[in-house]
Amino acid sequence: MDPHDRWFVEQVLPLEGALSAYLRRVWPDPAEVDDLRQEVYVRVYKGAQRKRPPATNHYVFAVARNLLVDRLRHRRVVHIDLVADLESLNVLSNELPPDRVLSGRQELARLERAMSDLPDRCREAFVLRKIEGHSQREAAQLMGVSQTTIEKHIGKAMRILASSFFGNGETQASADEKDDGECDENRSAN
Amino acid sequence: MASVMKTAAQTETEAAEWLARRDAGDWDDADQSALDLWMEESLSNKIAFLRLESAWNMADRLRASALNPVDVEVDSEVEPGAEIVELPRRPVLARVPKWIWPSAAAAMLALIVVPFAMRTEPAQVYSTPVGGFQDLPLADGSRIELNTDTQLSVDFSDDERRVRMSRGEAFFEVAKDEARPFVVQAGDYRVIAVGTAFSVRYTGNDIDVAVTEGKVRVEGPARTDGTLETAFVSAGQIADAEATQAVVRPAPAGEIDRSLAWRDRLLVFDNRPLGEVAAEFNRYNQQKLVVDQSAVGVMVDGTFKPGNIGGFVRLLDQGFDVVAERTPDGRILLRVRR
Repeated sequence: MDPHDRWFVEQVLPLEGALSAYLRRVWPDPAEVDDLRQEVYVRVYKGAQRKRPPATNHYVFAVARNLLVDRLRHRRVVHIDLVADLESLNVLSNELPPDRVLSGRQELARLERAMSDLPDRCREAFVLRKIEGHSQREAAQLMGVSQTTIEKHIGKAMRILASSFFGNGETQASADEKDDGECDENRSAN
Repeated sequence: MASVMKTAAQTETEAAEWLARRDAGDWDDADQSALDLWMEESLSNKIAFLRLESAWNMADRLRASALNPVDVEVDSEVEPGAEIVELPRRPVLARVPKWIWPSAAAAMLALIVVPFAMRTEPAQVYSTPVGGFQDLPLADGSRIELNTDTQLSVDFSDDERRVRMSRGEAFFEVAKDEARPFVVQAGDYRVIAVGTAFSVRYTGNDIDVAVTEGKVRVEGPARTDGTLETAFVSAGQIADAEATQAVVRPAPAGEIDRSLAWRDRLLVFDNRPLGEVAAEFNRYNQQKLVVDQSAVGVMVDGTFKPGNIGGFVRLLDQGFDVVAERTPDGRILLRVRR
């Protein structure tokens, strides 16, 4: 893996839960939080390309705050009940997570929780593919569904897994995923 | 909706489709080139893919742990002696990168040419009110910036440039003049410079001297035997002097920047307890804050305008569960919400 990609995956992505929580706290429109987070990622990735910051956590949150300040300045209308002043965008010390790489045990615990977050059919596909080591084709046969369906289950599982692994159960995304019920819808189609 | 920008959810869905398709097998060079192309389309695409891919790869761990159930048993057993030590969860104390704040040091490099009034009359007194700030260019090319609630007098003679500080905090940018040392007198302390930049904060008991350029000499009060405690403080160092003891220590660049953030009309706190933060706000405002015992330990991190007590109190309320109450004598009491 490219060293910069590795840095991003190991140091930045684990901050996702705290970052999303911060964005949700300070940003008036929760619907925009996922887009803001993605924009923070792009800026962090780009910004750190030339020189890696000494403290990733501080850097990521500083980038996030700057992004929000930019967004506020470019908004045509700032609702009075939304963000009172730029100061309120400050990062609180208790929401800044420590800079650290997850231990193997913590990773495993997060993965286990992430797996339990999967809707039933997604989890079934996931277990066949990832834990029992079947190919997607075999998993499709075992579940009695088409390969297209299993691919959709796997794709969905990937999204929920990433949100609940990096977001540490704190992201909005995983909850939304379950609501749209794609896995369940496929089940009824079978 | 015809939107130029893809939403994060759309990007993530596309990334998942790519990754799931690759995982399905029958993946050839043409597929890979198509994926590469998609990833090169935007950094956002690439990041979304990287994020899903790494979580997906990480999930192989689950298989390893399922294949070695013994490990899992050990994990779930409560056995105090064999407990794995978790890394502490307290907020990290790592320094905030310098570039986040307007760097006082960088500002120092800019040569500012300010028209100045000739100040020939002896012992001219200057002062700032609570919350005030004054930039004071001097006749010799030196410059003084007075922070909140500060009073000093300037007395230039042929052999000495003397500033007497009776209270407060000031930053001195001293024009070089070997023949006339620049002396800041604060109580019994003297800070002596030739050509340099430094700040002095005088509380009435002790002084803090932070040097950003050159070198200064700090002299303490005369001891009973008539000798003086002296200490040299160089750029990048801070001296805390109390009674006849001066402690000189190297200071990380971030700390000096932070201690001089007032020059940019900002208060910068790097994980400081609320008790200390409130005391700092109180230096700039007539409206005083008092901190209840329950809240003194709440840690504060961030950049604030010294005059914006309202914003600060609101922030405490929203994020720290600290509520503000008005006391009978008109101060604001901060305590943790019960």
